[in-house]
Amino acid sequence: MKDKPKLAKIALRLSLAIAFGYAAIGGFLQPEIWLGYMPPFIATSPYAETVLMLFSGFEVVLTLWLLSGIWIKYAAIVAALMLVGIVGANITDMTIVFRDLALIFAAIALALLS
Amino acid sequence: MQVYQKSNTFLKGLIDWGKNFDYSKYMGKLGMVKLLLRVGIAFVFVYAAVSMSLKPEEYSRYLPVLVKEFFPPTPFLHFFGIFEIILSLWLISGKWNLYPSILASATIFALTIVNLSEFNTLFRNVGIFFASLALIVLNLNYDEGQAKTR
Repeated sequence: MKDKPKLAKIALRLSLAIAFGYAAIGGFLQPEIWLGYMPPFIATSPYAETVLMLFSGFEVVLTLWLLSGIWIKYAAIVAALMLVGIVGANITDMTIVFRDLALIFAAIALALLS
Repeated sequence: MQVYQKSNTFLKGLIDWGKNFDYSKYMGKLGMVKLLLRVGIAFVFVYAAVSMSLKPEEYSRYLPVLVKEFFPPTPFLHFFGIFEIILSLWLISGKWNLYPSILASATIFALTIVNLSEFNTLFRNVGIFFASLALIVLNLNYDEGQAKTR
């Protein structure tokens, strides 16, 4: 009975880690596709690919942080802020990023649980 | 002037009441976590339902071939949209929380499995699926507690 919040926390950590992990791997392996999710002012700049690599690198770090179980509250807050940024930057693609709103709520829930 | 003072005192009282309101007494941390997860998952279903009703042609590509063979896409999407709205309302209502959580996770799982070719868009569904698993786990806790008190 007492383990259930702990189990829920693991599920939420996996939830966010999978989302960020997949996006990070996608960014490294298929940059041409993932550049489409960058805000236009970045996607059209000559540094677009470098920014994508840096962003993907940060997503890898966040994924590992979420999986590590250390200072999860802060990892969840960072995840929520990143997701807000991703949704904000792609507000015109709402038919795709509306799913990220559920992940924002999941990240806030994880921060509360931790 | 007196009316102004009275309304000012009333407003100040209202603000103090809001500041001192003990939300945890009514919801608790777990209650708040469950509410956040329910609202988040329900939002996804509502958005998809409304969006597929407005632009069914955009969503018909997510329909499995088997479904397209037996049903015309647009009416099927409308029907599925109604199912999603009902599921969202059930999630938000807070009634028998465990069952809509299971239904939501099964629906998200099925939607992802039948659209593996669109995984670059639907990978987020895996995250939502795990969030719904978290909701199931938390509601198992709640339902056991309820069952004990019955």
